[in-house]
Amino acid sequence: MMTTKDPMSAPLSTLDEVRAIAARLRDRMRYDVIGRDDIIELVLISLFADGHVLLEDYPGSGKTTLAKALGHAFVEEPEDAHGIATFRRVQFTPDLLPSDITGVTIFDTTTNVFTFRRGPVFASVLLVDEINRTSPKVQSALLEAMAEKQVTVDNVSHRLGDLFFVMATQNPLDSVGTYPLPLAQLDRFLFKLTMKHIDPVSELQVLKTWGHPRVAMELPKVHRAEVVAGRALLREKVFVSQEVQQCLVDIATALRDTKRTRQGVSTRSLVQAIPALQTRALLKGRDYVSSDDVEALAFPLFAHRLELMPGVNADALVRDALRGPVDKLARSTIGVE
Amino acid sequence: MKDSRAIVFLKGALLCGAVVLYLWSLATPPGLVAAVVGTLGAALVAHRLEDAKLRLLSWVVLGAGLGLTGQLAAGVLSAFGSFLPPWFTLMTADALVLGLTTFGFFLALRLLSSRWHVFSIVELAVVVGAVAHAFADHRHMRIHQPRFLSDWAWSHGIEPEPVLSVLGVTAMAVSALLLLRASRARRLLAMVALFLGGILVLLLGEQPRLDVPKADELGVRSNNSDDDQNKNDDPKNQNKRNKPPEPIAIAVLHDDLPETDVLYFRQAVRSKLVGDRLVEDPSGTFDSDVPTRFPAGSPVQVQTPQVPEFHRKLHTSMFLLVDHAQLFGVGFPEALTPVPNPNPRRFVAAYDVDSQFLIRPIERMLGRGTVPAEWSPAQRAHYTEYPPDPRYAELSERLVRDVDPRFVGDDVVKALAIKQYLEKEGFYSLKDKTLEGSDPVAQFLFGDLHGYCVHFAHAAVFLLRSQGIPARVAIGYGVQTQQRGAGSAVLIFANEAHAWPEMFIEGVGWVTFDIAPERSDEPPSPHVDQDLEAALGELARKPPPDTLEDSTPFVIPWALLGFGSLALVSGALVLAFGVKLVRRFGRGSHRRVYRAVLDALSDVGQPRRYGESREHHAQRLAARAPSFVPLTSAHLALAFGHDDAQARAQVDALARATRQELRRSTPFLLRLAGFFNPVGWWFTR
Repeated sequence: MMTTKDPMSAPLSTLDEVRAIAARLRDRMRYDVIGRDDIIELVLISLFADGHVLLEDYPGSGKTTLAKALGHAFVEEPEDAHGIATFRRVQFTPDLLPSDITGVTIFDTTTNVFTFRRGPVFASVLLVDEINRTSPKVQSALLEAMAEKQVTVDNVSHRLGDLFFVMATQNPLDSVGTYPLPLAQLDRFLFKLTMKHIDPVSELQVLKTWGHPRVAMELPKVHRAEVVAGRALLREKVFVSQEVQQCLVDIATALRDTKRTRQGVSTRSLVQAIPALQTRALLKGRDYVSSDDVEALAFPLFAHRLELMPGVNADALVRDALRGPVDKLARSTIGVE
Repeated sequence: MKDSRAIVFLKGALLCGAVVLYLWSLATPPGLVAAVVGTLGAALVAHRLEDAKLRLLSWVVLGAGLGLTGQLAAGVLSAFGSFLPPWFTLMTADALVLGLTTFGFFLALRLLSSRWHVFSIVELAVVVGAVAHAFADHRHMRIHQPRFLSDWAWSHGIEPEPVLSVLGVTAMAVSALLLLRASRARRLLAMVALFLGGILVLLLGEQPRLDVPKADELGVRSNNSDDDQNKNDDPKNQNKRNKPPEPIAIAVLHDDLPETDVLYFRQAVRSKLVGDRLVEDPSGTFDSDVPTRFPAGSPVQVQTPQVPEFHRKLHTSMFLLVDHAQLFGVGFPEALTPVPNPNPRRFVAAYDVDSQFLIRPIERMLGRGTVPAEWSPAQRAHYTEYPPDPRYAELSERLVRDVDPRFVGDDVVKALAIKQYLEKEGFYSLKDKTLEGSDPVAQFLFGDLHGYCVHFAHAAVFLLRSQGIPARVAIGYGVQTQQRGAGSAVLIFANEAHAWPEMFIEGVGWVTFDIAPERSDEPPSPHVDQDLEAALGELARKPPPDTLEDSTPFVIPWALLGFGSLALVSGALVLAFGVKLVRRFGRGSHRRVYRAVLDALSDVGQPRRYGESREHHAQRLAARAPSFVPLTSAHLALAFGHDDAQARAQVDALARATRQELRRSTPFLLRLAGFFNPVGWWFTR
């Protein structure tokens, strides 16, 4: 197994190095998940932007494979001082309790002390399967973890890892007996990604390679600390101009002012959008955010945060709301200085 | 959006209305019914077929095919239908042609406009065109057409103009609302609002009751009804006789009036024999010396056969006080010229008449022939045709037999003998009701000779024609000169409507040959109110004081407008080219350089579209100008990113490369057009 340089000894200094880390992650995921390059890119953007992803698609479309591929792209490190695992998976069911994911305090009869047993949430990459099948109680327990990167059990807060990254899935059709996520909770997810069925060529490729020995093991892995350092560096180095920020505000205004929405997008979504845009610019080889990034990310960023009037298509709505601000942004580049 | 069934029906009804308006005067009743059924059917079938997947051409071919089938079927029917009664063949053919043609046409049109909205405009044009077609005669605010509407309005004391305007505008707006697409609720609301608005305007329009006399009481509708014509010609309907006569026009004479007892204002002549009576010649080949058209804009001129040495030229101005179907002028009018209405509140229309006025008595024409040698046999036959009743010839032979032997064979003397007989033996009466029914002229002439001007005129013309003398009936107004004042204005009243014979004398032309029966049971008509005559004459001569400022007509300053717009356009062009030049040579900043490249793209029709990002624009044009993509990247790096010295250095070179690639990939003609395009930069965004 190829090892990477020790992230602690030589901290990242250039964007090219961050880009290389992302490329390593991407290559490994692409190897395991065929025909999903667009989703892989968005997952990577979300990972580097410190956001969480909600995947919506049909059973058997490769959600778990995707999440596992990401988890396995990290170097297996011994559980650190905080005891954070690399990858965990939780299947949400109606009878799940909050303590089933956060962990419980148990009484150790040998030492006569209460000790905290960590739940599955103490992981760098957490796959939450069928998030809408569990009760709101459990959903909101996850909420604190996602927002604060900590869990509180018996009034004691426990830090989660810096990398804490949630990939939740839900089935768009089979909604009987589910607890649909409220808008406030959806707003915690950076992206909601809708996965279409992969194209026939890729599907055939999946069948051919299934069960064969995986050469992916040869591909370089990534240290969790590298991603955390990369996050910080790209946030500092990738330039977001005044005009692009203005464009985001314009889009938000357009989404709020239309009669087609009952509720527009939150300010939090704009705040979260900035690192996402920076990451995409980085992945595209740029050190500045451009209108292309705004256009590409607007739909996964905003569509799931809107409460629509009946009969309104979110796709068309976001497309329409983009037009004016993007045009204004483009105009600004040849306007007076 | 698919229309609801009610809207489909309404649209169909609208198109049906248009079809009826178009075909009303052209089609037989079965044809009309077939056309309506075809149109409505087309609307419904089109609604059903709206989702059918067929190409544009198919609809057009289908519609044309149906129309052709109708024509073909009708042709076959009339070719092989000789064993059928002709009326059946005619009506079936009419129904087939119209039914299938309208069905095909409207099916294609409805389908096209449901698929491509732009075709709704054609539909709209069809409907609005139908209304406009019906109102086409309503011009210059002079004649209120169509008459059935304006007559209704007049008889209810409403100004016809608002009625016509409201109808026209409502029809157009309703059609536009129905045919052009709009949301259903909004359309319904707008239609209700229009309906209420129309009613409101009608109610408001009803307030100013008119002080002018009502047209249908005047009996001036001389050409509207063909049946029972003699009766309708009678202007002095008995039930109106106790009312004072209504003035209908004032004639202002510009020359001294010749000596005459009666001033004849001729309106039309009737020379074509149909059955037992004379009508206006429908072919237009004869009586071409009588102006019948209304002078709309330009003068109407005719050639008259009147010989100058027997006539004097008279110039008069006519001012109509009521709506009148045909124009009339004193003597033998040669030219009618429209003039501005000096007082639109008082007069309906104004026009000048140039006419020939006969100044020699008929006794001076003795010895002349009647049928000119240059007349064609058809012309001669036309003016000497009389009903195939042997009694006319018998009577006229008996009358001319008694003349002075010195004048035997003289047509003028023969005519005078006939005139003498009718004047001596005839009895002028409006009361005789026995003259209704078939052949009223024969009833009158070979009966008790009680009748009025129309009977006398017809009888005289038939007797003259039986002697081979060309003659015709003139109708119009006969004004007794003894009863009018000395002024130069002649007031014409409705009860002066008259019919009189005209005969043709070689070397003179048409001669007014009125029969004045010696006996009459009519009271002499009252003297004309001279004050009224003078006042109206004054009014006609000069405009009312409050419209004086209109007396100098507004002339459109074409030259000023032309040069002004030319200067404006060339100024704009210079400005546009100036802007283009300044922007073309933009230097010094990546923004100006990039903008210059964008201008070059706009000039050849490749500007960035609204809502398109710079990157997408560059990608779209990558095939034509590959360097445009890196140029855009460098430009955006400078615009959105840090100040990048490397990108700054590249911009100029990339811009040059882009321009070169663009030049190579653009066809020469397009490049030339782009070079001269003054407004390309306007579309740069």
